[in-house]
Amino acid sequence: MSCNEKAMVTTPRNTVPVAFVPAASRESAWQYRPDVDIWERSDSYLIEMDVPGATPDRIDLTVAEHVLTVRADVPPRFEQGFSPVRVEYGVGDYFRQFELPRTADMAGIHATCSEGVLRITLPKVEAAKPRVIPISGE
Amino acid sequence: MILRHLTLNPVSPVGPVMASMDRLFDTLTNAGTCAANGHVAPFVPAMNIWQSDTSYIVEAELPGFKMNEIEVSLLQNRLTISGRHAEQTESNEQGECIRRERRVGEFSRTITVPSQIDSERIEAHLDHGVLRVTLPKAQAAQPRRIEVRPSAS
Repeated sequence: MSCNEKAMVTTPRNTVPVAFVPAASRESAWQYRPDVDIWERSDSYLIEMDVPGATPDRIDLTVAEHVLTVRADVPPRFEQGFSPVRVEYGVGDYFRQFELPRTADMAGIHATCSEGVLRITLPKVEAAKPRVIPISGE
Repeated sequence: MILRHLTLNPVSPVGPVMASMDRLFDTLTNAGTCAANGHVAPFVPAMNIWQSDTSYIVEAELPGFKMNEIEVSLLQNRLTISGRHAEQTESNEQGECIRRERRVGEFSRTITVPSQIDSERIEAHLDHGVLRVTLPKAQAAQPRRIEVRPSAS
């Protein structure tokens, strides 16, 4: 297990910023690592990612060299005339990367987003899908 | 203006972003992260609260919950937000778990709002997994200006 993995396990929620992005061009100063569930099916992988506050048009999904990158821009949410009484979580952009297995079919990746949950389906390449091998008799 | 307050173990912000590379397929290194124990148990959602002269806004991030799965109620000045999924998705249907970080159980949280609330005008909206409840303050709880007059001597 690499130290990267360890950092992941101890990260409890997306309330923990993973990087400070000082660039003035960004709307949000903090970047958050969204929580994921990952499932493996016989013919595909499914990544479910919590991205509350992100609208589908501001989620950016890219694949390059077997690395899947998810970015989402989340603008700050506070209103004119309101002052904070209690702040228990931060609001900012989401960023997370995954190294994909060779069995994932890069061209077939598709994603949907509803209720603040991004669902990314990664089909497996044909060779990686389970198949029944017929046994020939005499 | 930065409106952020960190309450949970902060990871060093200087850690390189590339440190977040995950392996999807290495089930040996991921074996420990699938225990569902902490996830099916009820959880307490974090809340952000703002106020103006005339109202409060209570906000919670509840990704994955639909409108009909969330209940918002006010009893005197105690606001309760609770939720539970209408149908539990079976992991069989989703496949074999490789990693599990998201909180998917039911939740309930009650907070006490310091002022009287006009309960007729409460509004709740769920937008891309973010619940926002607007609680207008009762007329009596709103600040009012008291005019200072010279004494009539």
